[in-house]
Amino acid sequence: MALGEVVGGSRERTGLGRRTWLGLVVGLLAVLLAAETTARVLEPRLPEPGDWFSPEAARLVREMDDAAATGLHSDVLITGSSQAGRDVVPAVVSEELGRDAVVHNVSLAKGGQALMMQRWLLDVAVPRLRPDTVVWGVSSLDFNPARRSESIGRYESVRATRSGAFGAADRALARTSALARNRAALRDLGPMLQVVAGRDLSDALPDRAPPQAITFTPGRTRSLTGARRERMLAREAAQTAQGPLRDFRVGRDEISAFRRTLRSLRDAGIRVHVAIMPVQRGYVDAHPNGADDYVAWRRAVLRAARAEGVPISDHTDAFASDAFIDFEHLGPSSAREFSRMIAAEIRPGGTAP
Amino acid sequence: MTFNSLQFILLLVLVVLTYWRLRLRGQNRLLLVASYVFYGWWDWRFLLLLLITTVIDFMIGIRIEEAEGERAKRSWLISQLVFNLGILGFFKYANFFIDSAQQVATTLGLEWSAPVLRVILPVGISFFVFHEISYAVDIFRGRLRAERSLATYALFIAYFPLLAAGPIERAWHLLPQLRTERRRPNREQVYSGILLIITGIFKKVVIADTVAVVANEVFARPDGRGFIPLAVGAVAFAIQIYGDFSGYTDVARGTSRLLGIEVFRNFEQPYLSTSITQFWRTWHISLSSWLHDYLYIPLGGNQRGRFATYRNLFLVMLIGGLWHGAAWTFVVWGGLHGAALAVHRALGAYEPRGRPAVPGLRDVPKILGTFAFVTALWVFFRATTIGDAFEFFRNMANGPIGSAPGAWKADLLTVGLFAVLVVAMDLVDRRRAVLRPLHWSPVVQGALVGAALVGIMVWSGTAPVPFIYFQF
Repeated sequence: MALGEVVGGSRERTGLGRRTWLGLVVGLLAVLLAAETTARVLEPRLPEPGDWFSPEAARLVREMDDAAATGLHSDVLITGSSQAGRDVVPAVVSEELGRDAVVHNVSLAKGGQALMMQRWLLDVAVPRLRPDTVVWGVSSLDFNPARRSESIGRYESVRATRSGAFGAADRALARTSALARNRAALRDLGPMLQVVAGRDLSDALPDRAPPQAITFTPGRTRSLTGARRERMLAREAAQTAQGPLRDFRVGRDEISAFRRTLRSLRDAGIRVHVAIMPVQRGYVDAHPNGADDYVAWRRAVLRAARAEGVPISDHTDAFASDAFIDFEHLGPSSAREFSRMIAAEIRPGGTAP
Repeated sequence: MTFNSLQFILLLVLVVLTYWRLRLRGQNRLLLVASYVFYGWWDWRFLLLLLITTVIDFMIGIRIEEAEGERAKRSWLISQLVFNLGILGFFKYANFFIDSAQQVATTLGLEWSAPVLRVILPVGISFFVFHEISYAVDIFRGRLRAERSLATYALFIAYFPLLAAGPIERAWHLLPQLRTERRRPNREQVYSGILLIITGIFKKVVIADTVAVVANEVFARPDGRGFIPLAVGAVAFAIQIYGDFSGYTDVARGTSRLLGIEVFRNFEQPYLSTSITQFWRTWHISLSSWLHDYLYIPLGGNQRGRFATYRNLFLVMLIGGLWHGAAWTFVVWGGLHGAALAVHRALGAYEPRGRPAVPGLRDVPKILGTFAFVTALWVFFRATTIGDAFEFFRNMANGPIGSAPGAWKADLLTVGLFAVLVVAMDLVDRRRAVLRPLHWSPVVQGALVGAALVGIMVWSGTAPVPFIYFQF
């Protein structure tokens, strides 16, 4: 069915007079009003609107807002992708630094792309937590332009961070209309039916968590025999090559965003430290041109950081392969060890190059 | 720029409000500029191709008409076909044929390294090339006079509501409308045009994009899923492609109506079809009728005996499949549809032409059977490779649910609800001559528009998902 389907030719007379228009407007407004009222009635029980990049980002913003409301600021702010998120443990860094150092980790899974980090750090995290030091964990996948759609593309498509006139209009609409404000929750049929049935989902975050990228664990790989382990590694290599490193090249815009961010942080009087994250050898080989791509990226990042006068440490080969749970993420004990290394680098008079 | 983007809505409002104030020449110029802006929004380089083909085909059209004798006319027509099919072949199929040749060479154990061409597929190339071919063939057949105004011809080719994904218009239908004195739509046209646009966006944003989430998930990870979760995924895709493409067509028709131009209907409730023959008379009508007029009839149609008829049906659908995309999955999809049409014809089944009758209860088994067959073949259309399609069917033997069914209950709820909505909308549409929706109480019409707008508001807000047929 198409509402505008005409039967007797497109010039069919349907008697569109003033009274007809009035009837149309009445019907239209009645439905809009009923829908808006229903949304307002259900709103207290609906899950939080999916306004942010991911549920994880929404949770972090909520926590940062709580911290900012109490006047708390951050001594050390850690950021990056899931690598920095998993590999740098705030409690360990805080313990190592002593003096009750306040350490926050605001890294985002699939959000470590330089173009997106520029926005996330400068617009969201830094104004809320006012850190003294920022530690930015980087890896080659964060500079791959082929990944833009899943990072900055998504960041630009959600209400809270969408830029430009459309973003502003969308936020203005959301401020006035419960329908617009809660549309992510309203279109999720399963939870909606539960809310209509009276269940309170206001504490739930929208969307499902992103799928876990980990394909094997250190314990399991150690117990695997040669052939099966090789198969596991081959699968991981294929997933890495086809996923985060697909069509890899060092993005010029990404390097520019990286430099601009470092400069902005320094101009704001914030100490910055960049850490090239540890990876397995298989990760390096998974680039389209193998180690050549990785070396080219590392050279570009080192040059950019040095040009901005920012210390940068390279941990690419810092851990043996059994320290990892996959090609890019460390296991829990190795993560603690890496956190201690980071703390040693950033403490006053530390080992940072 | 896609129809479901805010940029398009801004362009449309700007064009329509200016257009209504202009005279014919100004209207055509405005539409031509808007069409080139619309097309160049994707990639300005596409415009060069569009301009080159427009100028060359315009000149050949005149040559065909002015040529003395059948032979000279035919030579010009062949040159036009070679030129257009050459362009289509290069941009759309070059890598497909090179890859296929490489695979054959590898299979035969020959050492040959195929060249790699970095070719971008221009949006809508399959559609505007078909426009150009039908224009030349109609001049050759004496059904059409060659257009003498380059600007009008350029607008016929580039007309933005149809440029990216049809409907595939015929010159004899569209060109006279582009020559008509000042097109000023009446209130009814404007009203029905706006309603068509709202319906189209509703179908795309609310129906197609929602079930697409289920289809994408199931087709990406069929392993471990059983019959029901996979069937739900396949039905989700069937609904998605219908909502997506018919939604696009509704927006194209509604936009045209705001400009005082009528374009072809492309769908007549295809999923209510009681046979595969009826399905192809109601699905993508502008393509199936194009294939009928410019391929099936020249091949001899049904006039050269039974075997030739079956062969023609099969060949036409095979080529129709390949028209959709440069992949063997589309060839198999088209070939299977062609075989089904031939078998249906061989069984002596007769389908009267024209709009199908309103189905009764006794038609339900036939409708479900046709829908199941069409949906099963969509698996080939949607799969990346033929192997993936067979893997999909193999997984259906994993039992009713399978070992890793995913969120199949939630998926079933979503797909079921939207299937009911689609069937309800199509049943009303099939009975539109009796129900006459535009004569319903204004309050009811307003309420329906309000419901559609609420749906669009709730289901929008994310990055626009491109229309499926833009890739063809």
